[in-house]
Amino acid sequence: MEVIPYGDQGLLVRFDKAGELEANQLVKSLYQRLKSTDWEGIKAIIPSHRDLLIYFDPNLVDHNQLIIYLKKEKSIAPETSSLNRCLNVPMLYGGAFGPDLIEVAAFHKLSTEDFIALHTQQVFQVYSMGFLPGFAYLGHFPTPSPTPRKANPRTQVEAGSVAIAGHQTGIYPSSSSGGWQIIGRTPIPLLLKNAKSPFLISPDNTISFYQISESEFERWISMVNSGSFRKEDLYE
Amino acid sequence: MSELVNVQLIKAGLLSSIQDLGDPSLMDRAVPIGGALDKYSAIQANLLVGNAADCPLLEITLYGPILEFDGACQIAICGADISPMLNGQSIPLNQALNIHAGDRLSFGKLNNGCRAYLAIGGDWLQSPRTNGIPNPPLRKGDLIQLTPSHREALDLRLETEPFKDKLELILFPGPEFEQFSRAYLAYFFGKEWKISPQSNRMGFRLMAGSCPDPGIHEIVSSGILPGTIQVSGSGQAVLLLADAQTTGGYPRLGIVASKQMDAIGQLKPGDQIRFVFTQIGQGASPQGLE
Repeated sequence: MEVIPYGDQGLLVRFDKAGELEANQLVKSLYQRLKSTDWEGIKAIIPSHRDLLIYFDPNLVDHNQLIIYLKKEKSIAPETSSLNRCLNVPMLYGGAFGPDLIEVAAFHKLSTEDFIALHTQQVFQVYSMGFLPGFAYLGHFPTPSPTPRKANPRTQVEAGSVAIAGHQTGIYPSSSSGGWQIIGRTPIPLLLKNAKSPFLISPDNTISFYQISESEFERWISMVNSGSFRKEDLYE
Repeated sequence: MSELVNVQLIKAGLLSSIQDLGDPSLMDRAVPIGGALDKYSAIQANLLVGNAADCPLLEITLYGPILEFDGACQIAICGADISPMLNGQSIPLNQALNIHAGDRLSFGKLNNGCRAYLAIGGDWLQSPRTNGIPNPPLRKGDLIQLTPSHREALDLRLETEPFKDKLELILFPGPEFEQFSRAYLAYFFGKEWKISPQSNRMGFRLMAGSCPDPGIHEIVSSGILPGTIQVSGSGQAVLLLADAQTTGGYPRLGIVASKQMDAIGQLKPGDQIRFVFTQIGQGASPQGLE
């Protein structure tokens, strides 16, 4: 681990020597612990794949004290149990909502059934959040090779679309342009109205997907529309 | 209880948006910090009308809107001089002014700076964000609604320096600084950069001609803060601002000293900047920089 300054209001904690998955576990473990300190003057903690950016008010935070804390923390192994609050996300694969499913499965020389099975069997880590408010980069998706992005990005991808690129998957929280391959859609809203935390996914969740039928998709939609859906329904 | 005052945008202007001082609390969920680009001017305007420093206010960019008030209140405009007018008569910046029902506020020629801040004394119904997500810029016909305050506006006129259209920015090395080619770094620090017209609240694109290869083209996506200089594979440099995404995959050459961000917020397309390298000494606290 190394701690390097990021301008006069930031510190970047890097885990460059660790392997991909281990680095991400270390990042999230440190994210959780640092967050739980409620350190006065720390304005944001931004976890990403292999590092953590701490944004602070230099008038309130003693820079050196924070570095000492971070260096001490590095020796603590991640408590994987506390990281694994798993959200089980229902998803309708293929059809009009997953226009790239057949092509992507064929690219990987898999039947669509086997491809869906590969996607539903994973417990995905939140590698980082970025791109759009509430968008999570989820990995690792172990296709035989990385999935290429679309040569021509779509100008409009609907909210709830589940897509893949590289060895990652993600859910579009709002409609946007996008170049990932769209394999399906979840009826669950990623932006929660009037909730204490307005986002479904937080950096310390893990995510898994399960397949639902069109009629189940409709039932979820009416549940969401009637306001009876709760985020807690998705936890194991 | 005061009555609600409606302020309608008869014309939206180039880019008029409700801002405050930003909210970093959801940056870990990929929500940009947002907020006024020139916070100093925003705070001045709010304090002049008796508001708290972090109240919502209107950020006006280059070409101003036309606003119509249906009730009495007090306003103050700070920041850029975009020739503000009340019912067609020129009005001063940097002081509180009384508004009456039916008054029309408009703007004219840009004389200095880029962003003006319109504060209106009272409690606003509209806010910069809804459920944590930043609201889009205002459009023609939109309303700002507020309950005018009974707090006294300040009876003073602030003296301000004109904003510069050429800045020398102090740059701390970014996490990938060492991986840039010597040739690109020499080019970067030797150059007078121009703000491109393709700039917005996410960032200023800095106009480059042909440039040396940066030597590093991509990184594993990592956190970014406003003030960061990102360089794309082709050598295009971008100075990130308040609405930038919270993570990015472009190498980070440097980070501008935070005390210069307000002055940066008054730069407009065509304005020029140069960068001067600095470094936080080992063990030195960053606030020691002057």
